[in-house]
Amino acid sequence: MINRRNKKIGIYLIFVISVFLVSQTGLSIYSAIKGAQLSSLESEKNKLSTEYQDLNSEVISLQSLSRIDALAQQSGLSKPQNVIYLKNSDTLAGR
Amino acid sequence: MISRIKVLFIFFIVGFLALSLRLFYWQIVEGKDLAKKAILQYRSREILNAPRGNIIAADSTWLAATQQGWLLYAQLTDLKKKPADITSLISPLLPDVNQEKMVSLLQSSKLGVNWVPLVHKISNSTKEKIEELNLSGLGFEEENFRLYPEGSSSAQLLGFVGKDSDGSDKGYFGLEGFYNQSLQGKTGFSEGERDARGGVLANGANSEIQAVGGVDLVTSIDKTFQLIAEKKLKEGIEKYGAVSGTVVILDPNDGSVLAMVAYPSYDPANYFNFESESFKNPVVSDSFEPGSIFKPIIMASALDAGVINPLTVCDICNGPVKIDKYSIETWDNKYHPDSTMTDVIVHSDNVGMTFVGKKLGVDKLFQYLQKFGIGKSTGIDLQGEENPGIRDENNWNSVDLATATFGQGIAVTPIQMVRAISVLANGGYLIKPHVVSALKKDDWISNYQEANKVQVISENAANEIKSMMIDAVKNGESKWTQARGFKIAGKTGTAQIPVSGHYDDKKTIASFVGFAPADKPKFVMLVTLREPKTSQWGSETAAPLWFNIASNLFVYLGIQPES
Repeated sequence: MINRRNKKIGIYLIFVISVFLVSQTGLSIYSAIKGAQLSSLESEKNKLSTEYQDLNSEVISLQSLSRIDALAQQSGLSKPQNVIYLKNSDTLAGR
Repeated sequence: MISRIKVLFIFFIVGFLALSLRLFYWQIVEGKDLAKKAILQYRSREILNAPRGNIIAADSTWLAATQQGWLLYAQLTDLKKKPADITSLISPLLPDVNQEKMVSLLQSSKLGVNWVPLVHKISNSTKEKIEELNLSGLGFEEENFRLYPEGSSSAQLLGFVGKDSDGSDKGYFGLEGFYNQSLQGKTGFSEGERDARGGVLANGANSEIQAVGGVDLVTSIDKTFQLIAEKKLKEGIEKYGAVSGTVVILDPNDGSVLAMVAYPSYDPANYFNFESESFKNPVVSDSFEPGSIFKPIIMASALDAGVINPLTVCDICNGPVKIDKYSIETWDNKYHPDSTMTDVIVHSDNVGMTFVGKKLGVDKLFQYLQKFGIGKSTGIDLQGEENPGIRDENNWNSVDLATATFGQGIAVTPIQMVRAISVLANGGYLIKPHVVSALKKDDWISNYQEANKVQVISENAANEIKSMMIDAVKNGESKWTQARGFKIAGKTGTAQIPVSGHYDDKKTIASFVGFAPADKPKFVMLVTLREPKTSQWGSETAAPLWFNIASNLFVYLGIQPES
């Protein structure tokens, strides 16, 4: 009677321990997967952030007025030397 | 049988004691050190740098921004290749780097150094290419650096970012210095548990205090104004052989600075290659005796005080006037008897101004100087503003009074001068010059709150002096150089430079101050040239430069000539 009872308890304990071990293993695997996903997302975020920074720096440099002015001069554009202002009556719309 | 059990029991007891002792040693004796070592192994603590705020021009483009970069360093003990080989491998990727210097840095281990910084400001793409070389002993450290897209054009206005005694970024001079606290933000920290490969443990104890980036400064600086002023000033300094020069352009209605340029300048991104003398902004830091550009201030004071009117006749203008042992003469030794006050301004007549000074008296003159902000800091939001001050009210004698009326024996900074002239342009109100019009961070914005304007002179007096200054441009010494058709109010100035208690005859500061369009001014501008060589006179150097800049601004602003 006692032996049968002990056997039942033993089986029950083995079952509980097995469930515990399986769930622990599952949880560990799940944590590892999520950790890896997190790392991958983190590195993707860093990559995107770096790309954003690079593009932003490029925009900043490209918008430099000194640069645009130098490029315009290299392209042969020059500032008007003698600006002639037309009276309203001189224009076609003014007639 | 029993003895065997006893032996086994003793064996277990001894084993248990040994284990307990060892555990005691690990847990109690070495516990703290081991815990520290363990924490270092599985916990990582990272400092999250706060990105420094940007400085933005009025057209929403950048004047200064923070760029992510890297410091390439060498852990000399981990190097596996020879310094020369490492240098030859990485130098094609870093064309600006001195190879000899790099080799000598990599050989620093002979001097007992283990870690050396090799190259600063490396871009992400270059970093990736160097990493692909797989060179043992080389590493990277994140190092944000400041990008100034306009180079040296706004150097003195912006200042630069250097390091403080702790090695942290700190702004010096100009806006970077004045707004350092707002721009620098707050550093953050990230703590977390990592696995053996450095990956994040999802169920680990992770915490993060995010870095708070600095606020952006939205300035009133118009990049086109700034570029025009810089280019023309450089050309002017070369043309007239001047030592240095400044241009400052203000909106006289609200005090916002539209452009501020000084030359010689420096590159704020490479400030360490320049002498510290070039860092200060002469517009706010350097004082000078203003000379004749000061006359409109005194004349406006006398008009407001009611001691003269534009038609008042100067009854001492027929020759030099003697005050104590000094003789006051005109700049060209020509005398204009019975000049009206308008003529006095048009001819820039020192004797006529002495007449005005006598009418005004020391007390009133002193009061008006204070009202115009002379002798007081303007409070402009730039680091390094100096105030030359004025002599105490009780220490003025008749010679001081006379010379002050034509801008001698009194010192001002360019920003004080242009602020005082703004009073004449805007109908009599003293404004506070400022560069930043708003502080911005994400969706939050705090606009500049304009202080209550103080009325210094009446609108009538302001209009009268404005008419005189328009006449001075049309008929004064600089009439040949004016921008024809435009209504401009202005005044030339030539001030001798005081050297060891006397004035240097040959060295002058040539200047021109004015505003346009005179009836509804869009800008007030002061141009100064130090020690011009082609001519010492403001009318032949600073005035043509002023009109040259103004002509460009008229085209840019779409201001049409009136006649």
